[in-house]
Amino acid sequence: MIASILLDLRHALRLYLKTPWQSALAVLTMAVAMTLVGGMSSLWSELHAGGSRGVENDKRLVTFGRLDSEQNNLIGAGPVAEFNRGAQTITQLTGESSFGHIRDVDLRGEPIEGSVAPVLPGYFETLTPRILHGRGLAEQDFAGQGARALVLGHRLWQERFGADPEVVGTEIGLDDHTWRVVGVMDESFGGIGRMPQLFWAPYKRFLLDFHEGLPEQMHETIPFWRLAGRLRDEASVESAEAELSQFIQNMPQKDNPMEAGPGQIVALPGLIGNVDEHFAAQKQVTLMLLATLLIATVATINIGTFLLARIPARNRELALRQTVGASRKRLAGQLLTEASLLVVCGTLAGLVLSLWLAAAMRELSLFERVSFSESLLNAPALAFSLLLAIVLSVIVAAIPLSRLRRQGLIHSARNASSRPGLFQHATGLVQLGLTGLLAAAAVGFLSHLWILDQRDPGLHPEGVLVTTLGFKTPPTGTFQPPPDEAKFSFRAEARERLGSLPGVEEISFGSPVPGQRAYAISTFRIGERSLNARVVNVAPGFFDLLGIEILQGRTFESGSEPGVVVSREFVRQAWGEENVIGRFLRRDQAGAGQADSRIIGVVEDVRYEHPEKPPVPLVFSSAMGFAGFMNAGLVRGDVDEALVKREIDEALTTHLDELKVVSVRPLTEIMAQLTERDRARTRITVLFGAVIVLMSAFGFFAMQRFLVDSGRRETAIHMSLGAGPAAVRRRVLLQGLKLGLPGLVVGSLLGLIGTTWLVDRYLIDDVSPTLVALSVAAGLLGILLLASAQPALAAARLRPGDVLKEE
Amino acid sequence: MHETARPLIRLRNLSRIYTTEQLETHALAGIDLDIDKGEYVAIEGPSGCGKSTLLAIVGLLDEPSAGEYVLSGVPATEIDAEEQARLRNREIGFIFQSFNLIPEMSVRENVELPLFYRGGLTSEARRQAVDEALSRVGMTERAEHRPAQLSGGQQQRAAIARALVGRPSLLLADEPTGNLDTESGDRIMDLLEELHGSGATLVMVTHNPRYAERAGRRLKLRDGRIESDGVAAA
Repeated sequence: MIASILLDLRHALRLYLKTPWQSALAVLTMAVAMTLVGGMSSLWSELHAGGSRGVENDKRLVTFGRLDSEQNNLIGAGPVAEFNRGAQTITQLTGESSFGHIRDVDLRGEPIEGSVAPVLPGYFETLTPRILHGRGLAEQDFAGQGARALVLGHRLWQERFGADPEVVGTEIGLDDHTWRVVGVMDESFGGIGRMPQLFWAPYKRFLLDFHEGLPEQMHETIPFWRLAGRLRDEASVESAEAELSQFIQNMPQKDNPMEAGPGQIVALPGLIGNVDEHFAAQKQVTLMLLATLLIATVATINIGTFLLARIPARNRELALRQTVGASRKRLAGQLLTEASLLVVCGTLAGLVLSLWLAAAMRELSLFERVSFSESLLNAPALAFSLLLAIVLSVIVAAIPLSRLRRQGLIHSARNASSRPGLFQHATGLVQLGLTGLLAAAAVGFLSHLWILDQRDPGLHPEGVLVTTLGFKTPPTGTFQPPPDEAKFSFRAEARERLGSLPGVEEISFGSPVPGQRAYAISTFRIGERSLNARVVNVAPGFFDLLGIEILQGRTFESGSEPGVVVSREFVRQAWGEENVIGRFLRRDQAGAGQADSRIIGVVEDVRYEHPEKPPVPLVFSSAMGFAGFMNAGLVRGDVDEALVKREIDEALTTHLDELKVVSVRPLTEIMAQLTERDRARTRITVLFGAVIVLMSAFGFFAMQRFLVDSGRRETAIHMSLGAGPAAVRRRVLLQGLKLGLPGLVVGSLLGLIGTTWLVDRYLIDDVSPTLVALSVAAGLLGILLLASAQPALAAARLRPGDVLKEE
Repeated sequence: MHETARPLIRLRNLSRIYTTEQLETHALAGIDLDIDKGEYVAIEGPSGCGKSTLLAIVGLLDEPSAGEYVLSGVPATEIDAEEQARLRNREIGFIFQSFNLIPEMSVRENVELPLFYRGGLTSEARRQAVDEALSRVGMTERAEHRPAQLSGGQQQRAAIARALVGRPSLLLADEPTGNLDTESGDRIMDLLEELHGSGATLVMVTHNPRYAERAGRRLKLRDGRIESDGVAAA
């Protein structure tokens, strides 16, 4: 058995080495397909595995989150406790805060900086994280204001405590307070957020010690928690999702002051760092995995066609084998060995490359906030890829085998039909059909991106440079913003310095600009209603510089002017379409009283959100406040970025020495971040589309070559009867069109259906499935003609005398 | 004014060399030959002497390595592939040993092919020409049959009908009876002679001396050269 396999392998190797380029291309085809399958299945299995790494009991854990939400805000600690009192679906809702960052906190005389996990009661009992030494935080640690008890993160324990297990039970100083170390977390657990944490601490005590300025009543209402729980035996993920959604819907607004809009509450199995991103990534990767399976199908057909193309030349050899006693079964085994050799070589190369792909995919902006494990190719993905490789080997071997059976082994090459048979029609149909589907997706995403780019952003970002400022060293908790005089003198000097640079046309200040992630939302009172709006801090000249149209009233004439300018959408949502100049806006500032601002102007909507979303209400203020001094500097003109940085740094050194220029970037580049995910998705889809188009073109080309090669005799007869080169070329092209036409129709229809489905879920409504399908049809026609061109030329170069003499 | 008589086929110093990596084979070497309109020429010789190569070059299916070939006054070696195809279509009719009918087509469709490539003919004109050709070879009844449904003799008759449907000035037959039994072979030879009798120029490659004797002129080839060229014995 082994000897016979080795014999077949040696023969297969010789066979492939006879045509090294074609063989290499076949292996490359399989390698590309398996790279995509391996990489995508790795991402898929990891995203669907639940991500519960580092816990003792990962059964029935579930994480909650809100879709379409920049912040994963659900409910505060107080409502969590209330929910737990009546929870039917989960044993206990618990969580860790997503705002536990500390800077410059003194630990044994040296500062530490990083992420800390302030946690809710029940965190350790419910989630069962692996504790390396000591214990987790228990019920008594949360009593009252919370004990100064912490569980050290593994890295901090190693770096600052020399990995000494004796640290458990000792007391350590953090700034002015003494904390007791009750345990050391295992290296494998990174919290729900799956990030390295300095330590875990009771949330209330953490806030009191490290966020002294935060009013105490907000400790219970701040909603920025990563919430998780364990399902009760009879409950499902969906029922838990429904229960929490219902609870949040019925919550009084006072408990939920930062309610961020209509994002759907979802629950996902496992411990998930960012539910929204994770959920989106799951959907994306599922689609991508399906696409790679389509590509693998086309690759299989290609390799099958490659082997099939050798059959006319090998009929004599196979017939001889049969005459000396080889059974059909034995010949089938030989073909399977030959096919397996190609598939295995391609699969091995593909699996190695898939490690690179999986790593590269994780770096895409599409997955930037998704937590992945460190292993690139996990066991389920590997098993899936190998199983697929076995199936593909059998299919690849079956293609030439079916041809042998149909034709009979003792026929000589001269009897090979030059007409496309059922196999050619079927493979042409499948190849072009699948290509149409994926190509339509690529064209759909390209159209989607193009339409988004065409949407009016409400401003003119071209030629504007944005200078972002940051601290030279991170401020401590006692930081006080500089006085207004310093800010104004900085701006005045910056204006003067920038104004002297050649090419500068306009200068202003304002933050955030569209595309910047950080923003502030304030709630305004409109009669009895409240309205959330983004607040943009601007300086005089901001609107003119960005070309934002003024609809009513005026804009700011000086810094720190008491009025506000609002956007058209704000007016629409607040009062409808009427003149609002002179009205007063009352801002709800939680815990800090209320303030009124007079509306001095209304401007056109400016795109601060993804262009597919409706415009958000905007309130522009020139009050400097805390954030005002950090405003980005805006410069319009044709000017060197390095010069702008130098001049602003100089002005900062004089007036605001604690700040520095972090970056100088074109506004167009910053605004492109709004559609960054669309771009990443489009790039992947176009890559997949290009791969399948190339494979299909190659497959169709190989099939046409096969038909031309096996139909040499018929072509020679036609030529002997007067068919010239042009007629022969025409005949091959027509044959290609006839062969490909059903696939073209099916591909275009699948493209139409696929694009319609994508428009419902991923693409902007303005993308026309009909136009996409028509462009796909045109593209497929181009593929057919291009792939048939070389075989047509080869057929026309035939020397009929030689061919007919061979016969 | 009288037109100067010129041969239908004029070959001068014609040679054909097949080259492989290791070997150079001289299939034809310095052939000089004239064939006039209306002649009936049999080409004989042992296997590999260059008979079929000569016929392929005369039929514009192959190109000589050197030398001159003029067909009906047209320098065939100097014209492009399209023009050669046109000449093949209008001036030459081929009859092969293995018939070379296209198995997926009916007899009628096979016979119609040369007219299809000629172009400019209505379907009615093509149909009439095909009917006439089939009638001449006695195959009218089998017009809708596929080649696989015919005997060898019938297939060769169909092939002859295809060769003569375009009324070519030259019929080239390469071992036309090679795949047939004696009785069928004799009938085919009778048919070819009948065609020659009606004015066609016939050049035939054959191994069979009995059939070669029936030609008006016998060419004997050996090692790519004409060994003898003479009138057949009556």
